[in-house]
Amino acid sequence: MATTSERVPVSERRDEPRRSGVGRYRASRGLLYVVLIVLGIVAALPFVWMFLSSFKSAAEIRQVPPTFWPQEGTLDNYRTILNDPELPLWLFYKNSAFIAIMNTIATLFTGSILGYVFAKFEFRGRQALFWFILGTMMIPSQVTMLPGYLILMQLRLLNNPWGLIIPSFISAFAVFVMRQFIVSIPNDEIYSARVDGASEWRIYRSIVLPQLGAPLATLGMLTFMFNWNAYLWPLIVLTQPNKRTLPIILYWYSTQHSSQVNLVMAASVLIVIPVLIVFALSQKWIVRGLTLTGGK
Amino acid sequence: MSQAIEIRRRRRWFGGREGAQKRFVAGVTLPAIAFMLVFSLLPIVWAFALAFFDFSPRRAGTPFLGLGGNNPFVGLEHFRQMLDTSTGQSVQVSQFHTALKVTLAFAFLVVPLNLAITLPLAAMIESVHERVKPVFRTVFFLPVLASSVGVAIIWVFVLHPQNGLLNGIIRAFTGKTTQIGWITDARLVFLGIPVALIAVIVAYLWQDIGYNLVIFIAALQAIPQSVKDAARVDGASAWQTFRHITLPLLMPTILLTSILTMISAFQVFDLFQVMTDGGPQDQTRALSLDIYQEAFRFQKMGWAAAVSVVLFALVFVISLAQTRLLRSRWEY
Amino acid sequence: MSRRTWTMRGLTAVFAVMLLGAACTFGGDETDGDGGDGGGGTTGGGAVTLTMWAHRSKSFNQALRNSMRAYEAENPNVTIELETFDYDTLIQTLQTALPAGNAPDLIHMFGTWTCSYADFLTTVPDDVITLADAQQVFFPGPLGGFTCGDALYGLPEESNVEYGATLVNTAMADAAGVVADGWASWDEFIADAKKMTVIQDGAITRAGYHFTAGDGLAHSFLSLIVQGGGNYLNEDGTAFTLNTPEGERALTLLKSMVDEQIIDPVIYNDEQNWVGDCYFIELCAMGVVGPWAVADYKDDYPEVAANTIYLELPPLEDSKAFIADSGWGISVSTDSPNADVAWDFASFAALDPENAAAWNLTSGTLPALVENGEGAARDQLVSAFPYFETWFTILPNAQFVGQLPDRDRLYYEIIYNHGLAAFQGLETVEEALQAMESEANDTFG
Repeated sequence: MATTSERVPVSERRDEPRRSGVGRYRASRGLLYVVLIVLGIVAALPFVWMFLSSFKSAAEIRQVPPTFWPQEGTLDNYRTILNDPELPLWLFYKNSAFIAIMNTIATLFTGSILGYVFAKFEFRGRQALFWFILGTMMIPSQVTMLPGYLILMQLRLLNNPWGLIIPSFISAFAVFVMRQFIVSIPNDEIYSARVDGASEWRIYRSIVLPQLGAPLATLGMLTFMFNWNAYLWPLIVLTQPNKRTLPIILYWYSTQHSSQVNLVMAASVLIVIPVLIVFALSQKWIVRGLTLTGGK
Repeated sequence: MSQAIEIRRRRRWFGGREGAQKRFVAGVTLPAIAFMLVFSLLPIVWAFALAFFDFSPRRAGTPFLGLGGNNPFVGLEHFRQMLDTSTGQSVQVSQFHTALKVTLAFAFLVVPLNLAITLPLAAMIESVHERVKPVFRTVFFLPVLASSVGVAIIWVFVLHPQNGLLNGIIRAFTGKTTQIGWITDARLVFLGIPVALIAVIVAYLWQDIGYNLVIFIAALQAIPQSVKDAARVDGASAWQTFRHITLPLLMPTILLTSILTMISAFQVFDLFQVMTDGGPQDQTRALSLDIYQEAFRFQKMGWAAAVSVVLFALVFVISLAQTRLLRSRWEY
Repeated sequence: MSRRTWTMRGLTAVFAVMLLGAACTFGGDETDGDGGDGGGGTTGGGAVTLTMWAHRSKSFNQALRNSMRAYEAENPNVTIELETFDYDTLIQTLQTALPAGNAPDLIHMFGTWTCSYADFLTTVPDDVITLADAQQVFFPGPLGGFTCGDALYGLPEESNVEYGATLVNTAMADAAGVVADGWASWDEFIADAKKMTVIQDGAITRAGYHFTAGDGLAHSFLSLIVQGGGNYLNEDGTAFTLNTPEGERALTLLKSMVDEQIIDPVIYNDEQNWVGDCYFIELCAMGVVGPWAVADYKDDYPEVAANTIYLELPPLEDSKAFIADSGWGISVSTDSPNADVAWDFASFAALDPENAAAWNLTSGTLPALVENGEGAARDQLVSAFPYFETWFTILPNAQFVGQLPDRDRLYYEIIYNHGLAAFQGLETVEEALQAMESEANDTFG
């Protein structure tokens, strides 16, 4: 019984006995909040469980029945992980960051410039090319995974972070989103800039690009996040442990310490939480952008 | 004289303002086309071609894409084997059949469940106080940001028979020792669906809800208040408003998200591999996992390519059907 | 008009060139024999760096590192780096890296796999050791896996054992009133195991005997077939014979243990509560796994290790034979530009009796060198690592499993899955055996 308006319009209120109307309204609001809070707690539970477990000792984590709050909280798990010579976390952060950042820059650049070309220019084959690019979005990644691997093998880009960056230079999704956005940019500025003799490149750089703040931020965050969390493709391409990225390392660590879940939980916290924090701080951008793009 | 004409003609092609535009377009699209040919079109064509060969990268084929030679052309053999439902087939065929069922069950459960959760939830969140809205939205959106590997590891621990949260809670309520193997007991089946698969579905929903939630919230916000108020003035109850005003206006968004959710559901890999690796007894062996294992673990890339072609066909057909279906119901 | 044709021609040309270019560069790398000798590798002069891949296992990796440091001390111009992978990832990585020409110099290779990778491995040079000499110096089991045709593709470092004796937690045995001195029959064994099992509210909170891990189950099944007088392969090794009276007897025995509630395969299997984990965190009273597990866990769980002994498992009838894989050893890939230095290290680590013994001690594995398996060397090993004792006694009964087309698939998917299905009642024993045999024979194809 959720109402989207804060107050019932006066005309309606007069028709119902005042007390029961407002009472029912309040009751339904209360119920709404209760339901949401319960659902919120349930949704947050796995994270909370992971977080709390990371502070438990090895003995406590194996206790049956399991405890929820740590009986004897300890930072040892984190100490072990950060001092583990086989786990130079900073190296993997670096690998993940390099790939994610390069991919984000590339995607934003190609997306915006191609989006601009599709939105503001007429040329033959425009429709066909655009639909082709869009069509590639629908192909399941598993289909192109094998030949993609074979191609990288030929180009000798296996076991190389560039093998992850180069094939993803152009993102169909980014092109699509950017085009949608740029279409709504008024043409006057562009035309007058042309008359003034500005080069096309200059127009793109100084007029179009600055207006793309919101979608660029959103796409940037989404691309960054997607690349940061990617697992399968990096697993196939990067074969050397010291070139691998965080999700792969997390899995490796969890199999290495299968009987010490407390350590695995601490590792998960170290690998998962930073992204969450970054998001929480910048969520306004993401949400605004997502709503504008209206799609994945 | 002719030289001058030549120059002028050339300039007309690429000269002046129009020419600058053409140059720009060409300079942008031609490299893009070349890139997409190599990294998008070639893989797709190659994948389809591979499906007609018995291919392993360890064997030497002809110089043409490595096909032929020790990687013989087998035509429709792979597809013929897939259609063979007799009991004497080889492991890879029966695993393919299982994978097909698992993937279809997964996708057809995930999409309606996802919508059934996110739509009402979005409506609920949309109607709370402005200040509180971002809090709820964040709580539900956070799992989207976690790496699938992390999500899988957390849920495996939650579902652990002895030390897991779920069994711990059940034990707290019933007082009895509970050691249910949610993702390892092949005998657990609920309404015909293996419990292990349900567990993966729950984990996936948990991770994915935030996405559609945010989109629906935004779509709901986009509905002008005046429309809703007008309905109420006309005497419509909240439910009627939702059903006859809000829902139809949301239809385009619902259509789009349901298609995208469906397409994503067919490609889920990380969760399946890290949570259950296809077990127990292949009950969670999705097509994506099947393709990966056949290709990279058993080096049967021709077969794996054939399976991926089937996967593509599935996604294509189902998306098409979805579009037709939902669009016809929406058109009023 | 001319513009259109130009664009069409241009696009077609670009596409065609792209396709042809990609196509024609393919296929050149598969048959690379020597793998870039020209590189930068000089022996005994310039600095050489070697890389080795191994599966992650605390004790194994420590042992390898010790060997590497020892070699580096004697050969200061050489640096060796170790990179570890979890087991499944190692297999996948080998499968993808070897054909791609991305393999490291040295691979810590599992013997039973070796022949499937033979195309990408260099044979042991004659000046290191010839096949004939190797057959004198190594036990036949471990060497068997590394021998493909008439060539030797690696040097074994261990005699693999995964069946024949079981871990026994003496503290739990005492508490349950069990006298831990061996068993004459399976009935006796099952009775004792039951005493050590703890059941609460119908749930097995401590398993009496863990045999449902991937290795444990496969080795138990195949060994019991052999002990019953049968064989799992036919005469020329071209087909599996699992659906036989001996196979049925083996599977039924294993199933009876589940029925007697000594273990719940749903909770204790390969994915959760794996035998090593289970035993050392005291959720299993006994479990079948090689002595390397003790080496892996004893530092983290010293009290349990102190109460641990190995006891021989009872024979089915008279024969005490059991199946063993060809274990881990060192191979050199064809991609290595410094194959000679790599083989020098391999022979240092695996052929030199003292170094090999040190490796065995740290990793908790039985020696592959005959010299280390007898006499004074053997006594030394036992006194340093008492868990070896029982294994040395039964080592003569080990039988090399043979050249299997796909060992991992057979063990961990076929036998494991259908075994568990039979235990849980999802398949009857006959159905499980039938399925096992037909799927196993598929791996030949």
